[in-house]
Amino acid sequence: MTFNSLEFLFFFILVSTAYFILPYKHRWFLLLAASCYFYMAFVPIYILILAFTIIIDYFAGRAIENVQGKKRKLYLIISLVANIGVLAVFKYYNFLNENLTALLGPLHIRNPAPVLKILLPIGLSFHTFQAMSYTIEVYRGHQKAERHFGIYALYVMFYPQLVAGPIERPGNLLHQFRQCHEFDSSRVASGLSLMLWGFFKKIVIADRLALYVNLVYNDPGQHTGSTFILATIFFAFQIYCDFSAYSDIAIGAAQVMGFKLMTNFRRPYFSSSISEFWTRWHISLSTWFKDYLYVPLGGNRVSIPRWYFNLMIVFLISGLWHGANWTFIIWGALNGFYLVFAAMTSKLRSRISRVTGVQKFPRFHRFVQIVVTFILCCFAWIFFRANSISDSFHIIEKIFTAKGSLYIDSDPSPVIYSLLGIGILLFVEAKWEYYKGSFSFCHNSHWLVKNLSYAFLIIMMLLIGVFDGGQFIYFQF
Amino acid sequence: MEVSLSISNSESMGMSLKISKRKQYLSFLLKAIRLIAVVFLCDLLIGGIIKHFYFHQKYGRQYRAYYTIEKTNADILIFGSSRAFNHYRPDIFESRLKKTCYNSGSPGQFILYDYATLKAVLKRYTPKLIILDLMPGSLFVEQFDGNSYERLSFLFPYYKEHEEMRPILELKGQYEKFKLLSSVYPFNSSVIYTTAGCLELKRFKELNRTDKGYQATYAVWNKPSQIIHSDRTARLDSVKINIYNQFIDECRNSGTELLIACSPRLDTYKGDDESLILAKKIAREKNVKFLDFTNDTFFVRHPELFAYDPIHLNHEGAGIFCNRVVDSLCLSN
Repeated sequence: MTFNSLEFLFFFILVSTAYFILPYKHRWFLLLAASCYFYMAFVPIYILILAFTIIIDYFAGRAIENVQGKKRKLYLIISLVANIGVLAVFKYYNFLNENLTALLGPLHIRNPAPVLKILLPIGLSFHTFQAMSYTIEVYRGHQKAERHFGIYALYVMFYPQLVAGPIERPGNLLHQFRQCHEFDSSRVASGLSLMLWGFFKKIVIADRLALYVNLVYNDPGQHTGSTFILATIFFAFQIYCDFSAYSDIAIGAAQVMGFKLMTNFRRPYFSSSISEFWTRWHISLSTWFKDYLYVPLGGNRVSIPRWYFNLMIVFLISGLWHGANWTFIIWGALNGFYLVFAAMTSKLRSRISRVTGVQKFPRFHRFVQIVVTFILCCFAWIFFRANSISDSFHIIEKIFTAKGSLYIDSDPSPVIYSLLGIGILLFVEAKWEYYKGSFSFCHNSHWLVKNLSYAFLIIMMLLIGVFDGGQFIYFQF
Repeated sequence: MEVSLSISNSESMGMSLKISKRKQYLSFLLKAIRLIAVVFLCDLLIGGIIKHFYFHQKYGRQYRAYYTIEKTNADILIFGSSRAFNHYRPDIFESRLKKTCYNSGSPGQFILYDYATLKAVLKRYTPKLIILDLMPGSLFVEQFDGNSYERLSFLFPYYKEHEEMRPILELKGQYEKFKLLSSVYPFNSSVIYTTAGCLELKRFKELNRTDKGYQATYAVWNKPSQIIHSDRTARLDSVKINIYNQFIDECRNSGTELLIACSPRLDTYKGDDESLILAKKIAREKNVKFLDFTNDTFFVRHPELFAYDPIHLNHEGAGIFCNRVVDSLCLSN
């Protein structure tokens, strides 16, 4: 059951209505049952994997709290090994196996490890990371171990954010399951409005752009450099709209029931540097890596070479988190390299902007920085989207060498719809970014303006939306 | 006394909480109804405007579907995909058979589209002859990468007025009938094409110029024939087989003569195409003439008769092919 399906709409209405009808003390059970049903709608048997990690982490959390000394660390290690072990088997085993076979091949040694024919459980990396943050926080003493097994299970399985985040922390989410959320019409309306915007981004923009992007990237031998440039720009917006749409729907759905999930995206393409981009893109994952990997490695409070090393390690692992493929690892490495390069050249860049006098025009300066950041992001997205490394390099080569006209079918309307969708997105996001206090459409005080704005979004979905677009990209992670 | 006072206080507090809760629900419900009303009116208004323009086009594939469904009275009707669109020349059929002809072939479409269109046509009149051009693989689940049913949305503008088409169009998905309650949704992704069709833009007119539904292509293919292996893993689609059977039955019941043809392609097929074998078998059982031009030695030896790929004939190739179809028709009559 994907968010962009009518099944989900019926499911959501049913669960939300039942949530407010039921007495407060039974609500956790309703949400847990609904979450189980939601997850089992994909591959039912995989709920056992979730059950396994939930049981291990629940008891590990309690054990960590109840013992002292070295044993605490032991229980933490057991929990982390269980979680990472599940990830390793289901997500990375075949990747490692393939690479081992490739390594042993030239030595004429046969790799004895069999290839596993398994489907990757949906959202595995998300709920595993969320579960790990719980035991780590209990170990650090920042979080009390949850005694109620059902509520702990709900923390891991809460259906709005179960399969594609935001990756919540126990400190933000766990206590909310014990609170009594009354029906608040303005909060419900605001949650529904956020969900509507999410549906718009997914159906009108992401899935529309996917048609062109897939056509070009799945057949790299056939297209020109200009076509690849357009497809890559389209992919940058596709992945943003696809993923942020999921987050918006998740945050909105939770908000309807009174839960406050963390913000996951803050208009990342308005970033003026790569480091700013990573404070606006997939915030729940970036902060996870910062809290549980970057800071423990020493962060930036170490020698400069070690700092660069820390940055590279974090982004390499972030790349690997996204998928068991070298394309993701290179994408992560490239982002790490951008940050290291930015740190190495910060003084030089300040001097250049001082000498050229560009600082006297701060708006123009920021605009240039935004454009450059976007280009760097797009360059990295090539690796993220391409089907293989050789495809990535082939595409990059073609961008610089293959001249020719832009691929537009005899019917240009799909490209026009795509540009229209991007135009609406940029208009709305620019308004939020720079003119927040000015005229508002969806939050206008006049009911007619507000309702017409919602009607516009709904009509646009019906008119130019792609209703057969399928799953969200980040489900596979 | 104090105890009873505090009880009555808490009771009244609980009561006022309940009232405020009820107010919240009521106000939310009223706002939701107001929004639904605004969306409904916008949908009706915008849907009505698009519908008006959609059915007032003079060119393009949307117009050709409209002409087939609502206007044509041709004696001979051609059904099929882009291969029908590019292969069947009405001028040849008209001059040799002395009957009027219209080519209703629709690029990118398949048997379900043909059947839905046929139902609408037969409701209005009975053509004398129907030619159905069938592609190899037409009865497979994997046709068009397994996305063939999505293409039915092209006929959604006819959903409300053509009851006979509804059961076929609803095959696109289990929730389509709910989505089609909207007046805008039937025109999903078609508004720019419709605008171009209404504005009669020069380039649009050039691209969509047809002769009684047939589009001539003058390109010349220059690569030799290749051997293609039939897809052994493809699965037969029971719905498509059923619809194919119904297509034949509808023609027979209405008294229309039916000819099924698999038009030429340059590449030769090695191995059996299960879909084509079954289509031939059903036609034979139902006593329907089936002309199979796949692996036809004449066309396989003449790549210059093909246009922009090895499965579409150019104008010259279409001429030769149509004459052979007419020869075969004359022979059987």
